[in-house]
Amino acid sequence: MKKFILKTTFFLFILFLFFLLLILLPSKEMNTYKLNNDIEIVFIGDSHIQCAIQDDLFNNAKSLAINSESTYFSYYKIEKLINENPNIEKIYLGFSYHNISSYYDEYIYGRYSKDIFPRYFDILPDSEKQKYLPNKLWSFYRNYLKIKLIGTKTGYVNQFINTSAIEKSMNKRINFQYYNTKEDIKEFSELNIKYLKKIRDLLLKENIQLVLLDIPVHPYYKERVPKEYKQKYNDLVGNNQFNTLNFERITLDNDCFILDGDHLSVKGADTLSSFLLSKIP
Amino acid sequence: MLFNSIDFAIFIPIVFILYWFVTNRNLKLQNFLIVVSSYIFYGWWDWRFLLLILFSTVVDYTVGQKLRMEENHTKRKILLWTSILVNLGFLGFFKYYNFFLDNFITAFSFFGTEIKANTLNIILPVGISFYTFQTLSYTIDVYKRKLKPTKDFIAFSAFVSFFPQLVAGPIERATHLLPQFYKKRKFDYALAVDGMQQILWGLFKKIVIADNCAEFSNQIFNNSADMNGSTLVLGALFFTFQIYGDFSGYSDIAIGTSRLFGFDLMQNFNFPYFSRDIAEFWRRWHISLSTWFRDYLYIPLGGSRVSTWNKIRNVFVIFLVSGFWHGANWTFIVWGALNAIYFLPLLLTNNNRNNLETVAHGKVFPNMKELSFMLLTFGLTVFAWIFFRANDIGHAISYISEILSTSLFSIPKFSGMRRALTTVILIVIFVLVEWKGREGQHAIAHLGTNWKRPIRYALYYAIIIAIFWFGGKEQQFIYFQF
Repeated sequence: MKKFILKTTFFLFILFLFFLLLILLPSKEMNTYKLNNDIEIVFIGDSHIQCAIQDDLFNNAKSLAINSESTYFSYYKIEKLINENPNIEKIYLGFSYHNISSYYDEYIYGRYSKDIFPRYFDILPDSEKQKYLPNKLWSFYRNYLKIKLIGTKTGYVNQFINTSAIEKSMNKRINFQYYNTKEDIKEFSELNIKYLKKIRDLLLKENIQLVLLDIPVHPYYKERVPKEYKQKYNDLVGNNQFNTLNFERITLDNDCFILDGDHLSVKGADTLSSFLLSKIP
Repeated sequence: MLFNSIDFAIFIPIVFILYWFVTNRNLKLQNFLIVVSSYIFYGWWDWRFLLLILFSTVVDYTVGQKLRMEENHTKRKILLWTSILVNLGFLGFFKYYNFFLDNFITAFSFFGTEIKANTLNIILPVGISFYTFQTLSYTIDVYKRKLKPTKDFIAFSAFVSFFPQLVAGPIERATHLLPQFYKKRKFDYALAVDGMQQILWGLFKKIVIADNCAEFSNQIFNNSADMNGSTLVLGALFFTFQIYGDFSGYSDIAIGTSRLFGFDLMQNFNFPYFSRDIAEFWRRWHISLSTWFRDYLYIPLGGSRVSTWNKIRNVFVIFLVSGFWHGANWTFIVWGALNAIYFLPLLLTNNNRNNLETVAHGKVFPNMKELSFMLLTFGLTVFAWIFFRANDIGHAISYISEILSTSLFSIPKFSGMRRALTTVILIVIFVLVEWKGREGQHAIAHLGTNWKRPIRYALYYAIIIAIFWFGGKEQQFIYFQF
């Protein structure tokens, strides 16, 4: 018995030491926040921006968009970025109807947080770190370490060639983002709305221009976004005098979208990025 | 409590220390600790359902006591049926009530009679199918006088609720497990080390193989209408490894954990995907359930020592009941029927016991004949799993129709192809390790036994790091729903 306990303890101690040492290694993720000096424009947002903006086309712009990023995390990302990169003059922030849905709160403190929170853990103030008490410590630690060692993939990512939106997937997506049940609309995410305003205030203080990008969605999808969300979004953007970039002039066919009608395909990204290129000097 | 959770990682050392250092001098106290730990383990999920386990325990213990004193054949039969009806009654209510009601309504509406009845929102108690069958084995064996009824209520409660195998098996026989609670357990170093190895391999199977495969099989099955034939084949293959990794992984952890406490549980999986025919597959897949049905259903029906028609009937009965045991859905019944159809030709031609030895016994590689039979059996199994995994029969049929279309020859397409490739590589490594260890109790039982300690430790560390690095998104064990 003694032999078993001693050997097991020794074995686990070595393992513990190994994982402890990994934590001390430099973080690859933190390199993401240091940009080249010629970068003046930054795109921030979630998968909508990530699939849509081909940042390689721009000389002085870079996309740091990554899937499932809420405005809550974008705020801390932007704060870190402008501290590290004084040359930034303008930030394009992806902001659409879905960003104000409470489903996005699940990515902050809820069931998807263990995958998302570790990405930002090192840039969050201690007060925010404490709010997140990971109930799945193992998964959190695993994701944190993976991100620390190999980093995350930000910027343009789109593998959707020859796809088109289909109604069934769009309905599924709409239900996921805006409805609890068939009749019951999800609440607004007060946290993300609050952080959108915080981003505005921060950039105003730093004299950096903020432009909201509402990446186009499929007309079928847009039609099914609850009117309460459209109203709330318009009020939020209008009453707070946010600058927005209008994409109404570009035409996007069915094959410019992926199945869910909520993200652009490679063809859609080509069209949108070319349009954006003409707008950004 | 899940085996692959932090809760369990804290729970197990505490119970281990209390078991071997605090309660070890008193067998009754040690058994009582097992009962308390098991109830905590189960109650972690939902404490309300502990009452069900307690009720089943009391009923079967009482029936056992009555059977001890009763000699009258009719009264003994009544006692046996009391236990069967109580246990299967609970199982039937929680698991099959809505299924029967739905089918009843559908059948009547088919004949033009509309029946208004509401289905109930019933939560299925985790593991009910497993512990129900385990307690039933006690009553049946006592009734058949194969086992003396126990007077020790604590030992019996520990047998019913023994936490390592409570929620997903192996379904132990009273004749095998119950006597282990009467004897003082001695700590066996070699057994404990082997237990730890088996736990490690079980975690690898569950976290690396099953959880990664689950991500892709769920994606493909849930969106099968939008997928081409080749992608659907991949989906079925991913599910094939998911269900094996998930269920046999659970069994490995259960058996390994029991060994730490000095218990021996039966082997539940014996490398079934290396089987050369379906009969061999069923001797190697979920052994504790197959043998339960064999002993308590198939043999009482006459087994294979009856007329040809009765043989066919018996095979269909056992496979259909086995399918239905898995869940209240026609998909499971069709899955059972398919396996019966696969099995029957072997039985009727007396070829069902051809492959009793491990394939390529003592050799590194199988010969061409063995390999082709293994691939054929594997293919038949994969095909049957489509029904098992599908949401309903219509879904399974449309899934198979698409596989049989020309889109089978197009390139597979689904999101996360790069990660899927990593999963395929992991599956290949997994299959190779399983192949190498196929003659042991578990795949790594003999791996590295002759190596020097640092190298052996390096192997275990490598498995742990693989679990850490390649682990998929945490998924519930599939068999919890059964």
